[in-house]
Amino acid sequence: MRTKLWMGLFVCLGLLALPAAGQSGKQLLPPALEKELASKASESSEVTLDKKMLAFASKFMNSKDPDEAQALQLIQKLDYVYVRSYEFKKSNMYKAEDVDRIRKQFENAEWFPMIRERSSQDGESTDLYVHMVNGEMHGMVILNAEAEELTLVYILGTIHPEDLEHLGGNFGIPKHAAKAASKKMTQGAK
Amino acid sequence: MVLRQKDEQPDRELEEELRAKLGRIPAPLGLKSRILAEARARELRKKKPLWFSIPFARAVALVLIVVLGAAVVLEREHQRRVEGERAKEQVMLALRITGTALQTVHNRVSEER
Repeated sequence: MRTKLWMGLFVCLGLLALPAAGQSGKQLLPPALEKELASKASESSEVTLDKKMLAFASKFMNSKDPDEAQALQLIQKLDYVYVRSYEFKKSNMYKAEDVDRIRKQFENAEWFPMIRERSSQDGESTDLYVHMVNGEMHGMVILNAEAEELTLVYILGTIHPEDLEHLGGNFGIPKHAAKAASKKMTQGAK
Repeated sequence: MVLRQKDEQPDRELEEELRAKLGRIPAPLGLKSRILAEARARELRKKKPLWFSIPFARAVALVLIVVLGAAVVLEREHQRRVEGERAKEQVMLALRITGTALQTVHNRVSEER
């Protein structure tokens, strides 16, 4: 009888944990690959923030600072942010197969490949995927694979193209670049 | 002979009264030990400083508890602030990298055109 009670308790705890696991997003790069890339990179940035951490960080943002005010406006609608950026001193420090493996995670009905640029000269590539729900963007993936740089951005949450426009002029990004990306996304969503 | 007996009567009465009043009355039980204990306690009170008294020790303990509690709360608040600032920096970094990635996307798309 006691054993059944304990088993029931464990099942309930497991069921309670499931929704939380779904909301936290996923780990796009295997930890072993992350470790390998970070060890080879001259500079690396790895950021993973779930909704709880985003809400916690927002409490410390200064609304009087333009950058932080914009950031606060953006992150309030986000559920998960996963960013990995690696800069290398020389080329071919990562495998093309690893990049393909990342792309495959988004080659399904949930994700729409909005931009797919390949350079035959230097093997560089750029991919942008969006996750649409009822005509609204609920996720975005940017994968830039350059000779000496690999960047992966994975964001879950409500993203309005005008939010991206707000990125322009802040965070060191030229206004026109953010606006053009926003326009492209709006066209792709339609 | 009768005169002698009459004279001796008041003397005898007086003597008995005096004997009764001046006679040794045994002390109540435990009186000696109580008196000695009180004397010892008085000596100790003279020797021990204020801080040794129980009410003073309690007051000091209470003050210490309050001070330690306040120190713990302040330390936790400081830690929270440090973690919050770190989380904020992570968000800003992520947004900067996202913006740069978008710029790269824009540049590539423009080049293709």
